[in-house]
Amino acid sequence: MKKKYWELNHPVLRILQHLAFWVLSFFVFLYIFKTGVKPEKVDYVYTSLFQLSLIPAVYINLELLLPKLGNRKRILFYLLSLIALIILFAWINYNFFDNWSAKVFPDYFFISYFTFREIVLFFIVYIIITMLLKLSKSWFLVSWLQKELLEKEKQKAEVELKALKAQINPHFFFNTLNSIYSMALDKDDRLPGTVLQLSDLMRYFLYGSRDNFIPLEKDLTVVKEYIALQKLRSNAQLDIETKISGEIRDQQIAPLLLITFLENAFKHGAKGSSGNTFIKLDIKVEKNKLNFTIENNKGIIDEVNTGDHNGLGLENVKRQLELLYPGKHLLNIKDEQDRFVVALQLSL
Amino acid sequence: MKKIISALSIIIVTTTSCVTSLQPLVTYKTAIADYRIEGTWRQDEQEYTVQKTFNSDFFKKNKKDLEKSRKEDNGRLSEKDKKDSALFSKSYIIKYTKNGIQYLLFGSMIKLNSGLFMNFTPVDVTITDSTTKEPEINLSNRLDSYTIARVQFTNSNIMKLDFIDGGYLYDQIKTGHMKIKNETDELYDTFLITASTKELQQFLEKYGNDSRFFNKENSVTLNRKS
Repeated sequence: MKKKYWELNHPVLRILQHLAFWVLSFFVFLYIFKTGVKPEKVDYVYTSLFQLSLIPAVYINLELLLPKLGNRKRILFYLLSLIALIILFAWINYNFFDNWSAKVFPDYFFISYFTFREIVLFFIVYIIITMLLKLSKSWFLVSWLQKELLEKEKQKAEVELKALKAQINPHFFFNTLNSIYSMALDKDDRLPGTVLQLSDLMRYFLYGSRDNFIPLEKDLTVVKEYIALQKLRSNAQLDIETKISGEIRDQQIAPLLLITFLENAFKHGAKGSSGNTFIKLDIKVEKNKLNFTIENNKGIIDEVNTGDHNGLGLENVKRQLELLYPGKHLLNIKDEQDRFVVALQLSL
Repeated sequence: MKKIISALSIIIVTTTSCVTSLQPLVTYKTAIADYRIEGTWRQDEQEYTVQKTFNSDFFKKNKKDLEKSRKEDNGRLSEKDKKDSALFSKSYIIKYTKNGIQYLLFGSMIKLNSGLFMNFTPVDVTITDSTTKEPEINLSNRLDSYTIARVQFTNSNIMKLDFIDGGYLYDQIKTGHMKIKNETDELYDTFLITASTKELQQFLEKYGNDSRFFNKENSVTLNRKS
């Protein structure tokens, strides 16, 4: 990318572009100014001198007036300066050919073949042409830079996404391992099955979530397995209500989004509660829109293992939503005294 | 083109290698009158009579024709007539006879930065001596063209006409040192200046005092006879 920018703005290339413009302009002038059938030596001299008076006016405008005064606040000063510039150089052009050339080039005989007004028009046309060329080149550069910026932002988002995913996986596993640790301490018989289910989930996390989007059906299977895993280690008082409806086939979703909310509900609700606990999960797909709601009652004793990772999952998922569903998601989190509700609406 | 140049070369007999222009140097807007030019002038044995156009014999002779044409136009002056009248009021008829032929030239003057200039164009050629061997020239179908000279009065009795050196001008054009509209005839090695009146005036304003454009061979010094 840097190379391309360098190529576009390299001084040698710039000089060559300007040179090409003036050479082309010279030959156009030559064929306008020639007096005979073909251009004579005097026509070359005259055309060169005529163009020489145009060049400083053009560059003073492009390099000095336009960058310094070419904005809305100073537009009046700019226009006045431009008019003064045109009049000055048109006057120089007119007087050079009509008077001064006899002293500078005593062996060549020419006059100003154009009236002062005509010369002013020449200058106006050249100022406009060169400004348009500069603006079109600037527009081209800006558009190229915008493209570059978008590309870089995309790259940055991808890197950030990968980093977030890398953060989510350990987060989930830490929590699950904590659960398994508890089961091991309690010498729970369900431990081997739990480890197997964890193994399935790990496979999904490691290999199934590499893409930005996966089939919704697959993601919901993982959700179900996760619930099953949590049920194994939960007590009998846990009431889990799951409702999945609508057309879930042929739909795509970013992996690990839903499971993060689910994990959060188990962590802060089921795990931490000492009384009757419930989790209500409702997933509905209608016309490419997914409505996800999860509600859980809040535990009296919150997650045992807190520290730096506490709340990291939700923050990550929020960022993921911003990157993958910009303007296409609606997340509503209600953190009430005794319950926690997450409502997510996604345009699939 | 060649015919015109040849005819002029016969008429402008006083000098050689003069410059001929298709456009006049002087127009009705820029013409000036200078009483000093009026009278009879002499160069060696050759006499030249200069009269104001409206006072000239030529004008008086053709006045009836002019009035007749105006009557046909309900006595009103056309735009061209108005311009011609303005020019004639400040211009001169130069008459001289050579080899049995009377030449009438129409001359008008202009004051430029660099001095006084006059352009000449032939208006009539009449054979006055039946024994002359010169061919009759009919100017009625010709295209107007003009010869330009710088006018200098040494005193009220001596007038010098410096015709522009056509040879020098032609060399400058051919070598690519002069930029002025022209038509050249390679076959006869002649040329005609086709630049506009404004360009001619600009050129003389700038180079009217440049001695390279004038030389003795193209100069005529006239002494007042009356």
